[in-house]
Amino acid sequence: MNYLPMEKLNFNLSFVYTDSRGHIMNFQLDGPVTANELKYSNYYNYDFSMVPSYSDLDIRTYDLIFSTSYKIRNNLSLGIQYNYRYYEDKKPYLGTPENPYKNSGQAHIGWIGINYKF
Amino acid sequence: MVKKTLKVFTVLNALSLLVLNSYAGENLEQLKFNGEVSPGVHSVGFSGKKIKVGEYDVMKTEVRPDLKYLFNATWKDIRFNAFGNYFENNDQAHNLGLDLGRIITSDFIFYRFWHWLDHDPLTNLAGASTREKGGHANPPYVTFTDNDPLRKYGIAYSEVESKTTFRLPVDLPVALKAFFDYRKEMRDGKMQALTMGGKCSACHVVGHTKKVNESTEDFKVGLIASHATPHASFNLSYDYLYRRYDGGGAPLAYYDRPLHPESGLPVFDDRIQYQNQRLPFAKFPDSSKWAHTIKGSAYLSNYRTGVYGGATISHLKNKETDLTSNQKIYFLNLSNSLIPRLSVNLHVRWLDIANAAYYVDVKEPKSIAGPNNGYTWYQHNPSLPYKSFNPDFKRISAMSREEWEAGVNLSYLLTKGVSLRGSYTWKQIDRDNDYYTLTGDKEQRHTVKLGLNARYMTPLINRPTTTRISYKYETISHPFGNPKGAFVGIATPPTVVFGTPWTGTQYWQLQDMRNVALTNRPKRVNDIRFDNTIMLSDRSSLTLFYKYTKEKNDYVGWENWKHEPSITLWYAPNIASLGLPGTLDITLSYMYRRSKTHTLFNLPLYDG
Repeated sequence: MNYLPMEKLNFNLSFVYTDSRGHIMNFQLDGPVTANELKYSNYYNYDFSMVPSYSDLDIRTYDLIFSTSYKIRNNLSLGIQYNYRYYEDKKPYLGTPENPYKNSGQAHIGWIGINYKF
Repeated sequence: MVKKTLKVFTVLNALSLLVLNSYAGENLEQLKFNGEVSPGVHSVGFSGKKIKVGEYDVMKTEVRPDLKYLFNATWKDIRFNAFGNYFENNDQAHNLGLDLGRIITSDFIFYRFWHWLDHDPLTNLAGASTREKGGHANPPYVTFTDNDPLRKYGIAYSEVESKTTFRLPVDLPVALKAFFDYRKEMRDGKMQALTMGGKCSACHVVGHTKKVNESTEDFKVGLIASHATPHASFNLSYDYLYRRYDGGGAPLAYYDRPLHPESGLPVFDDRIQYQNQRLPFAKFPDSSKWAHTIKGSAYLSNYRTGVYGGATISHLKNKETDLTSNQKIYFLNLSNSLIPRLSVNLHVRWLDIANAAYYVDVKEPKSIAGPNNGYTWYQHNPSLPYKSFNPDFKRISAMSREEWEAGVNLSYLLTKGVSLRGSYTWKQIDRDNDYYTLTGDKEQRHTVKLGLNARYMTPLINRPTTTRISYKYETISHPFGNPKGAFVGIATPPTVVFGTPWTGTQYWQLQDMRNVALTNRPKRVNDIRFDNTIMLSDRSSLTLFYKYTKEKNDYVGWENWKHEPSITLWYAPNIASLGLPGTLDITLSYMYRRSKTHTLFNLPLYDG
């Protein structure tokens, strides 16, 4: 959104929200390897029922940018910008219950400066 | 090669000085200089996972200065411009341009940005565990060692590019230009490199820090000759490219001595390729490439006909293994618009890639105990009854191939603002190693595209509208794949062509049992696109976009589809009518993407 209330002043606001999800769907092998000569055949009878849960991804992000500039003189203006970001992993898998793998965060980025034309 | 291209660069610089020198003594009254500078300060505050919320930012928390700039200068027929920004040392971009009376023009670009990388804590590797035997882990118990657990990983990407062109300032029937281009792309930083603890230690994952110090450097020199008359124009160019890639170093990992999971004894010493030593891993091989390219074009305006063709011959060498790849490409393009409203374009292309084969010489240590003591398993003790096979083999490249492609593109102006487009392309790929086309035949592709571009007034609301619709259908026979990629069924003892000296099915016998093809290349593709923009009013517009793609391979049961609709509304309300000053405009956009892939799951069996 751009708003110019007067020639000397303008405001700009942008906001982006993303929601991303994905996972591997449930599957099973046709059956265990049953060759008699395979001594470790029981080790290959895997249970894949947890695959959808382990592979589950659910990530949300917000990105907000606000900026404004004021023309002090014809060749000199003052500008300010603020950027807020948010990243959330709603289905983290790595880590343990005692030491969860943090995969979320937020940041604030500020800028102030001048623009001089010659 | 580097010295030769630097000589060319020196010559071009000397020519620049000669041109500048011709202006010596002139006054600067005609100098025009303008620009703008934007100094500022910035600061970052964050909590939680810095590398996710600021993946491509430096993310320093102190108050730090930054600068943006833009300069333009002209003096007589010399022009100079520069623009760029410096945010952080690892976040900056600069552009410079110089034009000396159109005799010498030069452009220079430099940018650098930072990319945070993840550090896998490896705590997610818990698998089924069994009781330890003989002091060694009995698989499948999975463990890990992170040799640098507190290290933060990230890479700085940089690129510097320079393009300089010299135009011979002499009035000749043929205009001549020489150019020199230089480009260097770099990656510097640290990343995580993972490997196993040894040949049998797939259950022991080891993490190291790899120092990344890679670069790709291009040197290109060339000549362009042009001639133009009111009825025809001709161009001919030649360029030589030399590229060198430096893969940087590699971390070292210690590879264990494999031990039998039950006895704990080193019974595999007579089959193992490497053990009990520190070896480099995660190494990107250094390589070099040269290429000769020649291109020519002609346009005859009386016949509204153009022809464009060329050839490229290149040679690539892996400096670690001395393996080489030779590539040749020839192409020809013919365009014509003599028939009113109709544009026709024909093209043909031939490509040949020849990669050197590699002879894999397997290490064959002699047994030091048991019935085969003193012999290798290939040339075994004659008293043992099995028939052995030579483990050495010649690995033929799957990339080596010959390609033919031909096609036609048509564009027809149905009426003012409405054009119909269509194309057909045929492609044939003949692989040197035809094992990889599932049935051993040549791969053939037929691609048909139809499209409509229209600018018109939407009925009912009578507003300007731009619409683009296109449909693509592609059918591929014998696509690239592995005809024996997996095994499906109930395993029964295989017919033993070559015996084994051990009891139990060996893993190479399991490999020979594979009976199902695997590929992720489709045999049929359908692609639909729709793009529509309506100027609802002088103050609003609506854009609708939809894309649908479906790829299928019934031969292996592979399928992939995706929907991508989006809608964008732009609105500039008349806020003056509400008593508010100034102007306001708003853009709202929504995008949705859904995709699904169906494929065969292949469980890799690793048994020693």
